[in-house]
Formats: sequence, C-alpha cells, structure tokens
Amino acid sequence: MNAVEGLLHGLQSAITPTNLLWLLVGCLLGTLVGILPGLGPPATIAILLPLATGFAPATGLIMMAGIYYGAKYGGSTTSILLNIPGESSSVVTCIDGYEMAKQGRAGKALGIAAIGSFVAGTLGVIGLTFLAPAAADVAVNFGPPEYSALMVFALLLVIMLAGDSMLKGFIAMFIGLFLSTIGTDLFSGAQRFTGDQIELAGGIEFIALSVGIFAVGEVLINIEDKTEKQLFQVPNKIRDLLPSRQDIKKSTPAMLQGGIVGFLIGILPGAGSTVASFVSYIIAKKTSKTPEEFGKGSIEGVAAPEAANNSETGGAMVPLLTMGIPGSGTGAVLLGALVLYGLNPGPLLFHEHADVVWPIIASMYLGNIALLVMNLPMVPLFAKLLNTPYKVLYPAILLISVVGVYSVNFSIFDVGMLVVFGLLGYVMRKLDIPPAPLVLAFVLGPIAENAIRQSLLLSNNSPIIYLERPISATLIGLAVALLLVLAFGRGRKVRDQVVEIDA
Amino acid sequence: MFRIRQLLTVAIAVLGLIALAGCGSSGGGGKSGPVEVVTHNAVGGGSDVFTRQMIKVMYENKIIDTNWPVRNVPAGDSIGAMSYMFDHKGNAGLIAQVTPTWLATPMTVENAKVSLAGLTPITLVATEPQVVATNAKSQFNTFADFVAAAKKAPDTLVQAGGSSTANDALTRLVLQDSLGAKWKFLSFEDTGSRITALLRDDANIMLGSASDVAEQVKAGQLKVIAVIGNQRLDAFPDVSTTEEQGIDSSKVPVQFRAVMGAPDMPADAVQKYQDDLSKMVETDDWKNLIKDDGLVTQNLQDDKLETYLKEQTDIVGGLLQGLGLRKDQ
Repeated sequence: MNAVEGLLHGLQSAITPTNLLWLLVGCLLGTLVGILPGLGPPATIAILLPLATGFAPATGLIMMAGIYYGAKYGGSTTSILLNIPGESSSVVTCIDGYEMAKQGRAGKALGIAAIGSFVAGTLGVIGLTFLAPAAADVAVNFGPPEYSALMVFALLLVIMLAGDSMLKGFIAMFIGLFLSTIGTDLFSGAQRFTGDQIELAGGIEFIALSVGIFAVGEVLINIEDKTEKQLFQVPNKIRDLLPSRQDIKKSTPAMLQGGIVGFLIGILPGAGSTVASFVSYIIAKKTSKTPEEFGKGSIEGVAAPEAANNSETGGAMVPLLTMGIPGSGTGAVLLGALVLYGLNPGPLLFHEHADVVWPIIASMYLGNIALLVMNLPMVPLFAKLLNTPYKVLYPAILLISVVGVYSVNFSIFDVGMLVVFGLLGYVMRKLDIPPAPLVLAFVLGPIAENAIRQSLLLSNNSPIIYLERPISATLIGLAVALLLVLAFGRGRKVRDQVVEIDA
Repeated sequence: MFRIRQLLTVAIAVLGLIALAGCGSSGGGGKSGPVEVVTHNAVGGGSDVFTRQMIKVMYENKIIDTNWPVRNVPAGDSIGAMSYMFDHKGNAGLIAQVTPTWLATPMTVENAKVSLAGLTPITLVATEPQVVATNAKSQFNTFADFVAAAKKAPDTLVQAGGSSTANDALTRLVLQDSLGAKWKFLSFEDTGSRITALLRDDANIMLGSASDVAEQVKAGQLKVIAVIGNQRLDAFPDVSTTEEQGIDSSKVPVQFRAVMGAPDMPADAVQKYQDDLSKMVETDDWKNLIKDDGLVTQNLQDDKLETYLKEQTDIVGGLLQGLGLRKDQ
C-alpha cells in the first residue's frame, strides 16, 4: 500500500463517529494536561489505559495520540503567561513568550503559538506520511559518535541563547551540566553527588528544576517590588488580543522553518523536541529582519520553537511506528499501549497492521485542525487572566508550581528541590545569568555524556571516531565553524563595548 | 475585575481537580479498590506492561472481578516502590510485581531501609530466559561462535546492553569468568538503542528477552543465536540453548517475574492471590502471552519460592560484591 492510498483508507476509518469523538476527547484532555505542568501526557495516557484497552485498537490509539500532540498545544500556555515551562521543549518558548506577556502581548504570543503549532504539526504529519521509511534509516544510522557531535553542536547553540554575555551563558551551561551528572552513573552503577539520598538516585526531576528556576525565581525577584500596580497591561479589545495579519506574515518563515527542523530532529530518539526547539529559535534569529527583538519579546521567537516542538510529534512517530522504538517518554507509553493491544510494534507494524497505523496517522491531520479550533478562542480568555493583581497571581503561580511538581512523582522531596531551584533562579536573576542555557544543558548533559563515553568505548579511547563517520564529521565541522563565528562576532562586540566606555 | 478574579479562582480549582483526579486514578493508597498492584517501572516499561497484561488475562478470564489498578513508583529504581510497600505493612490489598532489580538495587545503597526480604512472598509467576541476538547478516550463528571469536581477539567484540548492574551486564560477567573470554560492554538506557546498535554494526550481540527482539527477527533484521539456560523457548523453537552449545550457564542470574505482597500480609490473603495466579497460568490467554513474551511459566510458591529467591540473592549479591558496588554490608 503506498502512502496516498494508505492515507485515504486511514481517513475513511478515522472519520467514524466513535473515532472522531475519542479524537476530540484526546485532544481536549491533551490540551488540559499540557497547560498544567507535572501531570504530563505519559501519566494521563497511563490513567486512561485501562479504559482505552477496552476500545478497538485504532480508536484507543487515536485518542492517546491526541493526548500526545494536544499536550504540546497546551504546553505553551503556562510558558507564555506564567513563565512556567511544563516540559523541556517549552523552555525556549519562555524566553520571548513571557517577555511578550509582560508587554501586554500575551494574546498575540498565545495566538501565534496555536497557529504555529497547527502549521508545523501538519508539516510533521506530512513528513510522517510520506518520508517515514527514509527517515527511519536516518534514525538507525545515528549512533553514539553522531549523537556526541550533535550534542557538541547543540551545547554551543545553547550558549548563543545567553544573550549579551557569552561568559554568563557558559556559567549557566556548566551549572546545568553539573546538575545533570547527579544520580546513578549508567556505566559503573556508581552514585554520583547524591549524598546518599535515594531520591536523587534517578537524578534531579526535570520539572522541579525548570519550574523552580523559571517560575519560582521570577516570582521571588518580583515580590521585591512592593508596588500595588498591575503587573501586566492587557488590552481590552479582542482584536488586540490576537495576532494581526502582519504578525502572522512576519512569523510565517519561522513557522515553516520550525516545522521542517522539528520533523528532521524529531526523528532522532532522545533529545528530539528540545534540541529542535532551540535550533529553530536560533535559525529564526539569524534569518530574521529584526534579530535585535529576540529575547525582548519577538513574535518569531515564539513561533519558531513552538512550531518545532509540534512537528516533532510527527518525527517522533517515525521510529515508533516503523521500528517499534520510542523516542520519548510518551512514545514509550504508546509503545506499551501497542503491546497491550497485541499489535507487536516493530518493523512489520506498517505491513501487518496497516488498518491501525494509517487511521492513527490520518487522525493526526484532523486532530491538528480540531486543536486549532479549540485553542484560538481560548486565547483572549487566557490573556485576560493576566489582568489579575499580583497578590492573587503570585500565590496562584506558586500553587500551580507546587501541585505540578508534586504530581510528577508524588514526592515531597521534589517540592523541596523546587524551593532550592527557586532560590537558585532568584540568585541567577540577581547576577543577570540567563536561566535557559542552564535548563537546556541539564537536558542535553546526560545524552552528551553517554554518547561520548559510548563512542570512546567503541574506539578504545581514540577521538578519531568522531571524524571517521560522515554524519558526525559534518556536525563537528559545523560546530567548529560556529565556534569561530561566535568567537569572532563576540570579539567585535566586546571591542565595541570597550570603545563605548572609553568614549 | 471581579469577574476575572472569579474566573481565576475557578481555573485554579479546575486545575487542582485535574491534579487530584490524577492522584486518585493512578492509585489511591489502597482506598481506590480492593487490590492495587505496584510496579517500579514508569508506564510503558517492561514490568509495567507485563503487570497490565497479567491483570488483563485475569480480568478477562473472570478470575478477578475488577480491573486492578496499577501504581507506578519509578523513583529510585525499585527502592521507591519497595518503600511504598513498607509504608503499607499488613495491607491485604497491596501487591507488587517484582523483578531481580528489587533484589539488586537495595544492595547497592548504603543503609537502605528496605529489602526484598521484608516483603511477603506470594508466587514466582514466570522466568524470562535471555536470548542472544545479532544482526541477521552477522558471521555468528551460535553463541559458541561468538565466544570462540572473543577468545581469539579479547576485548574487541561488543555487547550492547543496559546499566552495569542490569541482568545482561551481570550475565556477561558470569560468562566471561567461566569461559575465559573477554568482550566489551556498551551501556544504553533503552532497548531501542541496543537494537539500532546491532543494526548499525556498532555492537555484535545483545542479550534481552525474546519479546525485545521478536519483531526484528520476524522482519529479517536480527537473528537469535542462543537461548541462555537449558530450556528452549516456544517463541524460537529452532534456536539451541547455551547448554546445548556446550556453555555452562548455571550460575547466570535469571530474570524472574514474581508477585509479592506488602510486609506482614495476612496468610489468607496470600492464599487467595496464590489461587488466583495458579488459575491464571492455566488459561489459554496466559499461554499465548508467554509464547509472545518468551516467558517460561514457573508458578513457584511457599518453600520453593523462598529457596529460589535465596539462590538468586546469593548469585546477584556475589556479582555486585565483585563489582565493588555492594554497600549493604
């Protein structure tokens, strides 16, 4: 069965009243859990598994997939409104999204996030429909040396997110890398920096770290100002709450680019959506006509990472459906669901169970449309929430943070970590150290460390292995070029600053 | 203004409720139903899926009348799950699906307050013999071929596997010792990466359960060259065992799947679970399940179970000692 035929067959069986109903339920649930940090898609799908295994496989999986990508639509909401990144791929959205909210442009940010998610989400599914077999080959050929090179490249890009001071970006990155080493070492089984706390044996919980540094840190720094004034200016007219035609036009290249980058990087199991979100952010910044707006509330700076984050879903489904290899936590749960349905996910899934796979893919087109229709009307409503005075808003942010972090593992220890990282976030803001490089380095650290150690084990500690394989050699070359540009560009900037001071 | 404030209150209440609903449905501390089953895996992990499959078989065959909820406690790689069991001493409605990780992890932690010995043994449902898989194009057709090649060129061949304390890693230690061969061990976090390492030829073999590789074998990408132990598997009836290939594997730690209860579980509750599980292993659904998953039914109870656990405790304990990871003594 070729892709077009499969898709048409799939569409036919996806458009039954039952399937449509559960698709909408999935998308709605996904949006809701996406908004709240903590209880993410894997936990939600888990709760629904006993119910869903009673459905026909296609119906259940259509709903579960809906939760997966629906959560990504919802994920941007707290990032933009409250500076709470609910997942690692939303960290980059906070940078410009929250700035826009502070300027009273939350509605525009939320609106462009929804539109960008739709455009790129659809691009991702198109990629999944037509490129799956070729894409699967890429995923197989990405071994430890390739991941090592990709991580070196990615960590360099992370520093570029730092804004003005490269040094402060480095500091943030190193703290993040250090924090990521806490826990049980995969290779030796040794406990590293855990202080014999069993709660740390599995490493620091990501949600506690990101919500602490972003949201709690932000609240702490703001309660220093004892003003009664309203925090945010929210326009009253509905039209001002949504992106204008010009906003959409300006963001279109970022959305398309984010969609393509997101799909391509999303294919790689492991770091997909996170890496995709900041790679597309930086591409958007470098190709923008107004790069100076980035970091200060650029609408493209929201469109690009949100687009990448959503098309990643299509990419991540490639290894799952073509090889039975999950690329993320949610992918693992979906894999479990496939097994529970007795579908034996693996290389033959497309052939043996085309009647299940194609309806899922077809439903993703429909789901993206449904999500856009569901999310856009919510935008003015959410944006108006920011009219709330700070004495209500701040306790609310803290409450959501605590509930969110607790609900991940039902662990009070994690809430303690939230406080610790809240204080760290506060200190970093005082010292003007950017939080994004820290949080992203924390996510990339273990992937980088494992890949580098795996590669060196394969090559008997010879670093030549990174240059022997074409993909990794190319990536290393790119990284070196980037480093040169970075050093040269920054040098000029520093010189300019010195000249200014002299004058 | 007032309306917005109301709206916000409502919004927070709703979000709070969603969170509470989450706590409730993923298991409410024995209150949400008569029985709750704990697993140390996150949803979708091997143990989690097996637990749900087991419950499904019992429910669909009317051995149990409710679909028992599963509680996932992934914290601390079984320590969290075991602590949860210890917090509910004497609870007749709390059981766990236990694997060798529950034996090994507490041994590697200083002053661990929990150990498998504190739980109430119920039934060792099945064992999951490891199979040895390679790329379908590999030159190795038996595990003996691989060992011979490893002897000729020590430390050049590569086994892809999990963490250094996982079953496949410990198995390698035992085999290297008894065979006098040496090969490298490449740790990956997940099974998928181990399979792609074989497909890329970065690694030569991997050890895993039959279900880990069955689909790739069917698709002609991988082949299975041995079953570790002395019993052939229904999933791969033509593949010979390591014993048949002349390799002693009696000291290899076995991947088992047991059901154990909260500490001090009342005897009548234990008996009820044992009866339910004994009925389960007789059903056709179970027989299909173990064929697909590459499991071997054991249904060990009481004395036999305790002897078996003691034997495995000694094997795993000795191996961890050798690695210098034993911290509980």
